Amino acid sequence: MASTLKKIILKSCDGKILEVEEAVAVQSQMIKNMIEDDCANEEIPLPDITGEILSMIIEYCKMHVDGENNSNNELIARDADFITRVDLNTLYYLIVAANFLNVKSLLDLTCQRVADIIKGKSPEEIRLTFNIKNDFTPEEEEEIRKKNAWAFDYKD
Amino acid sequence: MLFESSVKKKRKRADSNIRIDTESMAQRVDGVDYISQLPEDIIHKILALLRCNKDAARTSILSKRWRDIWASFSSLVFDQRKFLPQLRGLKSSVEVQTRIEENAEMFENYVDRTLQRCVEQNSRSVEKFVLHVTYCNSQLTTSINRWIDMALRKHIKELDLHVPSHMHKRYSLPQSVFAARMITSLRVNGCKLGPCNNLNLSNLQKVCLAKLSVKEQMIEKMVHACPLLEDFRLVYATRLKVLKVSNLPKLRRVDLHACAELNEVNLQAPSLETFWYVAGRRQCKIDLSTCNTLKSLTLEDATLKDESFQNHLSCFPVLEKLVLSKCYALENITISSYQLKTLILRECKQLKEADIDTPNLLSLEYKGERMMPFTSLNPSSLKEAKLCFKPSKQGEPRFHNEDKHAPWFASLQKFLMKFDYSRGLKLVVRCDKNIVFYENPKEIFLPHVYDLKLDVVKSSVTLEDLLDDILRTCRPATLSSFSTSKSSLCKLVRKKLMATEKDPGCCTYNSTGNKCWRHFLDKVETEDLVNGKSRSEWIAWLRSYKAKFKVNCFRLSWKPRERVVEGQTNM
Repeated sequence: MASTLKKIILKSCDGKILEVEEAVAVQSQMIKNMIEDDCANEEIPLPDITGEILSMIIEYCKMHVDGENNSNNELIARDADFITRVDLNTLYYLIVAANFLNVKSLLDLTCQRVADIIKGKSPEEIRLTFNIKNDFTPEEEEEIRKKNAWAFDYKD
Repeated sequence: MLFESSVKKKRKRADSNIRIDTESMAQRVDGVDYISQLPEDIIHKILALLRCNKDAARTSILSKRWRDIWASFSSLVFDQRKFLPQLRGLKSSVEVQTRIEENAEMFENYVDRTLQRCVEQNSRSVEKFVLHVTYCNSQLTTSINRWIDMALRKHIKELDLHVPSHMHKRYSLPQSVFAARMITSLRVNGCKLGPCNNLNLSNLQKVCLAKLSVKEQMIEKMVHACPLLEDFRLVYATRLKVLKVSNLPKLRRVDLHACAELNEVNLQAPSLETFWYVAGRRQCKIDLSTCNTLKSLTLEDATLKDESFQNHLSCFPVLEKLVLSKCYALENITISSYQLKTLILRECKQLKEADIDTPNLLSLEYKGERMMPFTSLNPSSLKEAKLCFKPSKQGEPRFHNEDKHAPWFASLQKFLMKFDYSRGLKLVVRCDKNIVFYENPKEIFLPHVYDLKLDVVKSSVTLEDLLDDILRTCRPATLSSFSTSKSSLCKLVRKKLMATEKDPGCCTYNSTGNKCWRHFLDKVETEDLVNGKSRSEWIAWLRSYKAKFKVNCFRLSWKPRERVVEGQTNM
């Protein structure tokens, strides 16, 4: 029992200190490895993660630890609720952080969210949604469109 | 770096309250494209999660980054050369053999696993399958057949196979490849094509057959069955004697590279734009007389005579690029064209005079001995030129002060003066490891040496790019500039080279032999042309022009490669 109450101290890039229960922190494969290597006794600095993003990730991990006994459907519903609250910029930082901390389920969830946003949209809509700058000349664009003509046929 | 700056922005609006209200969520905080900054493997993950591969393919049109990501996502590239075993330190041949076998097994497992996973992902479409193995035995043959089948099941469009022959045994391409109607591009290197009775590559646009034996029949079948063929290349193909091609309305490019037995080529291709021919062992009769749309012609043929060259040339009224390389039998030729933009004459040793009348020529390249068969050319339209003179014999004296050579250098100087430098063209003179930049030249003087490279560089290349290129390719001993006003080269050298840090932060993942010049530059010093004691002929030559130009000279020293390697192992 004692080990589950052990606290891991995380420090965000903007200097915020967060104390997290070990059971929650080990959702991150990276932190889990550090604990196993006995490197997590002092505060762990996270150079690329802000306090805001870190808090969200901890909220997500807590939700998964607390919900271990809930049904799968309930967890999916909670995931959906969590991810639809997130704006696109935050989504980007969540992906970067989930990738760094190696929280697999969160990485899956966030990437799936991006995929869902892209799904069925025209290239113009996708560019608008994510502020992607079209750096092709019209000729280059036409060339690619021709090469992948099968993908631009909207009928089926 | 990008990420760092966006983090700062983020920090400003950092808020302890993680609950962002739904309203602000719909708005984008700033117009920054974050998603494209994600690492490639993450975007691959997102593409794989799209389920519908049309959605994934459509992202290729978003921007160049997404196009490249799609290309890497949809290509399966397996290269055994990247799995080469580390044999250093192994003592017995048994150990070596074991290590090689272990490595081969590792490679096989990797290909198997990756392909299996890919076949299982229904959403994932594969456009391209590349397999490059370093040797082939019977066990690997079975595996390669299996891999090709798996790849074909994913309806690949491009197949690129490189299987060298082993102990005179060749890997035989499975028949299923010839029936793969989806394939648009096929590259085969080193395999055996075998009899293919069911050739059904009706979508094939590009084909390259290299280092294998082909028979006339096979080519005939292919030409007949592949009406969409655009690009046809044969490289070191043996056995083929006659190549006849007709009824291919889309054929744009044909390359025939050192096909040993080839003695007759007849192409009737109404859209042919590029023809590249490197002679094999035999004299070859080439008929391109109907290909009057040809734009680019490259010939490397030691037996090509003046007359047959002129005959060829007269058939191509819209030719834009002509390359003649090692055509040792050419002596006197006439090139007269309003269309020609690029002319390259490389090591045509017997060429005495080329009568060149090309008022719209933009680019000239010449490589040869001390001959100038291009004197009739008026270079005023040229935007770039590369002239490279190499002595025919080793050990010829480098500096020639004798009068009998002076006229030759004078005519070359005169030729170089005809370029229009006022449009920003740059002139670089290289002699071995010594380099001179002429900045806005009004007069040009060349050192009387027989190992001279002269580059007239187009105005769109900046001085900095040019300097980078020179440092990358030749590691010069001296860098000098001849200028009449303030030298921009000096400023650049001071900024770029003299401030070079001890440890350049680049090339981290390159092996020591493969790092860029920055890792080898030892020091840069200004050469004192007034009081300096250097006795080198080169410095003396520079010094003699002090009255005419502002002459600046920097001496560069380079670390030998061994020392850098040593430094690395000590770390």
